[in-house]
Amino acid sequence: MQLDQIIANIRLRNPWEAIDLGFSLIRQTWRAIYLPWLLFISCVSALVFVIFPREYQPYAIFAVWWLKPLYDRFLLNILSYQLFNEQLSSTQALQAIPRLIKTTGLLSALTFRRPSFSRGFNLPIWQLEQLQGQARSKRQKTLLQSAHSHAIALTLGMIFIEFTFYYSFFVMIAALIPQGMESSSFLELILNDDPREPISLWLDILYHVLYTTALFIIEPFYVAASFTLYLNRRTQLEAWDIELSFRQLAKRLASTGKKRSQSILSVGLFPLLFLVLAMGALSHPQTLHASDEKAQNSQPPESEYLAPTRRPAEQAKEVIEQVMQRHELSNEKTTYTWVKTQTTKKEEPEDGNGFFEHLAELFAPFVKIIATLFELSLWMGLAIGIALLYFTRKHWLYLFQSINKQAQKNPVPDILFGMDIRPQSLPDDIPQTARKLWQSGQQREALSLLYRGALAQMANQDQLPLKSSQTEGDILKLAQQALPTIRHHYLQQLTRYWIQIAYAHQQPDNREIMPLFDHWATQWNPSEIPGTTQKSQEDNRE
Amino acid sequence: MQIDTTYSVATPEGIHLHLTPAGPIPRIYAWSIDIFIRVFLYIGIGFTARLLGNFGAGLGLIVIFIIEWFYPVFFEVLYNGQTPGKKMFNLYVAQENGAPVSIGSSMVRNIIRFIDFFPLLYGFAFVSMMLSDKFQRLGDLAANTVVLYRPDNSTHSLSNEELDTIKPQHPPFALTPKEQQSIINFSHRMHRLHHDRSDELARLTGDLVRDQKHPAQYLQAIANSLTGKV
Repeated sequence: MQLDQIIANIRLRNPWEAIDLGFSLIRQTWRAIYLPWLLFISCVSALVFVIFPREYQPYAIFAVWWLKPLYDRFLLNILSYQLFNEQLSSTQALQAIPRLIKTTGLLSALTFRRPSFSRGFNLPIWQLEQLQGQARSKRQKTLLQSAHSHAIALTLGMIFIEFTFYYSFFVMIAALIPQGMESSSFLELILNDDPREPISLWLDILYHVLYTTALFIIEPFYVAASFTLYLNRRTQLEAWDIELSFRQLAKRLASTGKKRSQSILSVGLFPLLFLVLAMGALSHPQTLHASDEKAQNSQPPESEYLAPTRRPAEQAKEVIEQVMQRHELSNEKTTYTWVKTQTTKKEEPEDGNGFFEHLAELFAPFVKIIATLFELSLWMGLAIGIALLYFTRKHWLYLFQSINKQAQKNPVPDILFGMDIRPQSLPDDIPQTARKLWQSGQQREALSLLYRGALAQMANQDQLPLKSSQTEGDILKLAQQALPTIRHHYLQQLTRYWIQIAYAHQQPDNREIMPLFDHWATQWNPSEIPGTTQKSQEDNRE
Repeated sequence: MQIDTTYSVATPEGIHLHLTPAGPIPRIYAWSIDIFIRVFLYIGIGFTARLLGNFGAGLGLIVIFIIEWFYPVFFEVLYNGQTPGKKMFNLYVAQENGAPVSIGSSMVRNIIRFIDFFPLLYGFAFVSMMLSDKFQRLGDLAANTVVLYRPDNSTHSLSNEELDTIKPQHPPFALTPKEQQSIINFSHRMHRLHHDRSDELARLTGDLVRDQKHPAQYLQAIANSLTGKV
């Protein structure tokens, strides 16, 4: 393993960041991964679909899903080369498959280890570390120690994303079906599971392709994220990041070692440097013990200025303090805030001493009187206020009346279930007109007139809260509470006959009807309806 | 150019801030925490609203509407870019340049959440996150915001008694700040490494530890001197 060839930045991350690194890895290297992956998954998926008998083909999806450990091995193989900057060609990637099947514990992964939620994380132990038996399980335990929950969270999260993708396809298809067609064809298509129908084959193929597509998109992300999570855990355990920087350090030291021998020849080129160093050495003779010849020559290649020597701690502290005293660095600020003063403590010692205390004592009775007067006037003010409120109650008390009472005064509807109940629309003598209509054979009109008259009477005179949304039955119920029993009884009968004739087209007997005409005037005195009287007066004038 | 998830922002003061955007996995979980909290709230509102009849039902629906749309905005603006779910996963929303998220940006990113949700359970958001290099969903792209990890500073304040007993030694060579940092990191993390591994690592520094019997301990001594221990 050549750690310095690695294309990802190795540092100690928190596990979530490690997962994200896997996603970035795929985004950067997708070309090398998705082409061989497309070849592989389409072959496997098609093969699985074909070998399933026709009636079980809808379940081929589960087989494709079940085979995920196989795909993971294929993908991890590509990724592990990719990570160390070696690109596998598609042929090489596909050629590796038989070896992967044989050497990576695929059998157990496809059987009793298939439900494992950390399979992606464990895979590199099988495949890259090539461990088996007890050594493997011990290793796995160590690695999982602090990464298990994240490995599980990753697997569950990716399952969620994969199914979101899968069902998103269906929703997208449904959204693209033109209006008016969606219920007829698409739902039938989805619900149709009769394997004999030719359409259902296409449907099964559609399901299969869509799931394979979702898997095709998501699985590399899962494998890469698991892999980087695993790498991060190993970085944590084995300090890979430190290994890398130490290697670089050694490289730099080795190269400066070479330079050192050359620099003896090229002393003349750096007189200034030596002058500065020499002055530094003279002014701080006590620091010389640390600054041997090596240190002076091995200036780091970076542009940052580094002192050739380190001061002893006490001296360094002094220098730092001196520097911090300087105007630019001393962050002194004047701020003003409110602080609670301790008044009680201050007054105690001054008690009975000052001139003002004497004055206060002198005036104490007056002050008391004034205070009482104020208090009294406040109480009186309150009493006057309450009294005023009481006497002016007419002007404000109505504001607190409940809204329902006001609503009753709202204008009555003009039309109830298609019937005009405005008083103006009714004739003066309702029972007489109705009787005439009845006798001339217009029974519907006659009963309608009676009923309308009754409604108009209830709406205007009895002030029942009628609404245009109510039915005949609703009104009857309303009338039961508001009207005397006799009138309610009358209304009940009238409503029954009206409903019979209006909706059922059943004509009631003359004998039953006549009492209605006779009693109408006594029950529903029309002269009390303001509209009608007004109208009759107008008629008289004409 | 090494692959990493971070990006850096240069401030006018000449400081490079390294920001780490968060990917979809922790955000799914943060989101599900938030949705749990909201569902519990809605159930509570539903029960209270029922006591008030039709009026309550109307009021309840309005309250639910407001919570559904402004819950993230409320927390992101007032609580350092963290909804409760994000706080649990140490995430926060910020402007792309690292500044605190503004009300306008928060509104935009949470209104476009509606589009991110399409076609089903954030389908578009996942695609967008996987394609954009800062794991931004469409709302983030529109509002110029990112979801970042809050840096965890707890490892830096690590102290080790065994480490304190080792006598500091000056490094024989001048070291660059980066190299100094890696040696300090090494001494901090040594107690988590195997003895052999830490010696192996220490030997990798080559000339620095050439004649040392216990290279790992020697590096710790150097680290102690670098961190200013006396």
